[in-house]
Amino acid sequence: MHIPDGYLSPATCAAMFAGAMPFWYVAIQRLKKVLNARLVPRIALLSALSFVIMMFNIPLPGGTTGHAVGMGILTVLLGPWASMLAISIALAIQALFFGDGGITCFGANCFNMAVVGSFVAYGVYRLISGNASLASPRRIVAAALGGYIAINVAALFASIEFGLQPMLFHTSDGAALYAPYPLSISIPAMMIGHLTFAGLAELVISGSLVAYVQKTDMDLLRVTAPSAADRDHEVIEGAAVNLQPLWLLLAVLMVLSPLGLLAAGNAWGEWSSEDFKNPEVRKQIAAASHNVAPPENIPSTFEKLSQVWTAPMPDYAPAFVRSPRLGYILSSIFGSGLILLFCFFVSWLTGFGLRMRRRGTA
Amino acid sequence: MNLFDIQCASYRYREVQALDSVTFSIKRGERVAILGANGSGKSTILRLLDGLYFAQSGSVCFDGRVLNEESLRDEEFSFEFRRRVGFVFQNPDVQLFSPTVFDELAFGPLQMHWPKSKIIEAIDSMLDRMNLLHLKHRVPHRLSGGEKKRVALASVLMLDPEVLLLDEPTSSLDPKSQSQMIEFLQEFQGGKTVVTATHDLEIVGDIAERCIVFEDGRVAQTGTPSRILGDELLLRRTSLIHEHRHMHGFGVHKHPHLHKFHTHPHEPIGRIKPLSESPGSS
Amino acid sequence: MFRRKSSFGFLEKTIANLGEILNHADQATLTSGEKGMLQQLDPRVKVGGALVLIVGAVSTSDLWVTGAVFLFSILMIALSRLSFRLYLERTWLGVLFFTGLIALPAIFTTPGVTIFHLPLLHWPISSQGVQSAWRLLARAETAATVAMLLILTTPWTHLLKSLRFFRLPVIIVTILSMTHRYLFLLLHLTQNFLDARSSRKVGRWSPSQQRELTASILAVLLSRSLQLSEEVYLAMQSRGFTGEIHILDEFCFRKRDWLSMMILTTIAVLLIMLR
Repeated sequence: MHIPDGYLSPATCAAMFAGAMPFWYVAIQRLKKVLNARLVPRIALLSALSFVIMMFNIPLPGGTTGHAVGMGILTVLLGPWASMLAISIALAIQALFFGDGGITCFGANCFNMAVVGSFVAYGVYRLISGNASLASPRRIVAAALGGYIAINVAALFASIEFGLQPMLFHTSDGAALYAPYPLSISIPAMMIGHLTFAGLAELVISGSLVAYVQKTDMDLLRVTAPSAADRDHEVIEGAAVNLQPLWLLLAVLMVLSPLGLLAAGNAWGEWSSEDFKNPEVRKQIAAASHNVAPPENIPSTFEKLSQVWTAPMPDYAPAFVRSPRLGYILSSIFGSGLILLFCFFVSWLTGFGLRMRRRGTA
Repeated sequence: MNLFDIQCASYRYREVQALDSVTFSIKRGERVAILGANGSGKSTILRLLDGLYFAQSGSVCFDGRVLNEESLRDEEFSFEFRRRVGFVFQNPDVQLFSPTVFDELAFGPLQMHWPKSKIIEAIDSMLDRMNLLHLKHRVPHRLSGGEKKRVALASVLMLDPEVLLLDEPTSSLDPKSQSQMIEFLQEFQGGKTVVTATHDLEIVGDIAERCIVFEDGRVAQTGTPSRILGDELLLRRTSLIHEHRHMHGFGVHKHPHLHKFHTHPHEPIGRIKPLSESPGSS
Repeated sequence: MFRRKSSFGFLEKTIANLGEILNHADQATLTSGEKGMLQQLDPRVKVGGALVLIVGAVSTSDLWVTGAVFLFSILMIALSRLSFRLYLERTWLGVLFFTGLIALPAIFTTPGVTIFHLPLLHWPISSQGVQSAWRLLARAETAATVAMLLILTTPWTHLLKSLRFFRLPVIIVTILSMTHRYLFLLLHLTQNFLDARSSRKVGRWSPSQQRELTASILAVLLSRSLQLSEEVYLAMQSRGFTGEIHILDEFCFRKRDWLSMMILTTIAVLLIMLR
């Protein structure tokens, strides 16, 4: 997900820098204001750890490997603002010292992985962990899912940045000036790798490291758990982690994610499936999607799915909704929304499960 | 007058009672060795003396002023205290956190708001004194173990502290660097207070005139080096020496391992048959 | 069973990654100590220059400008006594492989005027597709070449200090330098762990064993990092650190720095005019 130089237009790079800047500014101001001197070496060491995590090939089921970033564990241990700085610094060292990840794209890389990654991880973690005790297995699930979703949302952002390039920057005859693939290719290409390999790697790392911290130095979790109930001693045996629910949740998530993607692809131009059969509309679509002719025969599953996903976006929607640019934005909002909805559900589910268990033991 | 006064100080890390009601004092200009096996609490007491940890019960006083969170929040006192007391950590990697040797030496003076020209001058003279000039722009991960320890010591000496706290200054050094280190420490003497925590009995005579032996977070014994080193029972009880089995020629025998040069009688407790005596070879 | 490779691969790949990183760091230390042309320049000029060149090469729609920047970097490589072989191995082939792989399908997927059909498969190759792929590759290669010039001719510590000049807050520069310093400690530690594990294990690792191993190594690294950070904090505190950071900025701009500054500005103006 480290975007090298040359893939994004300078305008995009500048926009991404501008996007990341206020976050950096606030993070630095907060760091100065809190002036917790202890935080300086801790951010440095965890940033170094994130760099090392990025070096690791993490073995996954099925004999493949993936790379993680460490956003899950860093966010849990540092909170989103400090984690954002730590990951930005790791990325800066990669770019400036090892030439890995572009210099002009530094803003974009930081925005995706450090800013978006940290905040999504934090949101999901807080949402799912709720006010569970520090030793609760729910925190492991929360961190693991936080990491998984964070890296995927970060990848989604990166793929949108990629996909916008040929649409916005091309020569008069249609040759791309920067990254050459439209959203319809960049999003699936990026997401397939992240929904599976990188996401799983991040999930395994975040979950197992939080479990480790619970066993060794639980107080470290207090940073991001202000409302954690002090029931730590009561549940301490629970820390011997049962990973079953985690894998189950992951499975559900993975089943749902491609649906979210199809939905995103569909929302893009707001076409209903009949449109594909109408030659006039097909021409329009082709023009809007940069002369890529849509396939003539829509896969039947797509037809069925589209009925599910297009339902909320009826034909009588105002015309500007049909503008492809708005479509891109809508689709990403739609995708993120789905993910968030899912988190709420998971949070409720785990909370419910724990309540049931406690009631059972009481 | 006592420079440090430790009264019934206790300190606990989570489940471990690191210090259990410790009482002793250190005079100005005194050279003290704190002896003890790993986990006896000697590193903890040094951290209490440096105001990095605070006694959870009892008290630690420096120059008549109690060391606690509140007193060190007083900027004036904390400034004075940090300037007067230097601490060399056991792990030099912890101490060398700056990008180069030069920056490392500049760190302390910069915190003390020295003027720039004075800092640069002082660094050069310190590097010269410690034989480190050739390493001035070296990055810390390209230093050998011995060099790291010397740079760590130099960075602490930059502020010319009157009290020097040393945690295992000679551990994991090869014999040459070890003797170099001892030489530096002896040279550094001159009315200064030096407190060294160590389990290396060999250096005790060189660096201390008084020993405090720690055992399980308590003071087990205090005395001159010669008296402490002569007390085999005490040393054995506090795990500072252990039974040493080794071979001389063909004989195996046992004696207490003192970690210092010594002679001992050789009465073999068993014999190993040399190969030439084995049957069939004659 | 020929699955040996995949079962050992994960450890070895990571060991190889680590080795490469450490190796690169060593090379940069060596090359930045050479007496070449760029090595003599003030790091601030170099950072500014690299930025101008990269932004120039990336922003122009005229491939000749990108080509000119590339040729200029080639000249700089020669003048700075860097080895072309090192460049080929470290930068050019890597970028060619990575970006090439990404750019290649664009030849077929980009709609436009078909100039050629792939034999047998009959995939159409469009002129726009070839242009897109070529542009991406040219830009990526040029930018990476310039970035590597900066990295290979500037010691890290100088690079750090020059960042101060570009108004980076002191606290960030401090954390950045500390991260870099302890990164090497963690990298060496990791390498030792992995070497020990890979030499001890004779048979195959099952996937779950691999995961367990990785998780346990990372757990140890995490606890080492946290422990180190705590001790570093104590060591900083002991030497008067209260959260407010002071650092020493010592730079002197020499004649050659002013001169190169002027040349750079000219190049920048030229690039902007050429757009």
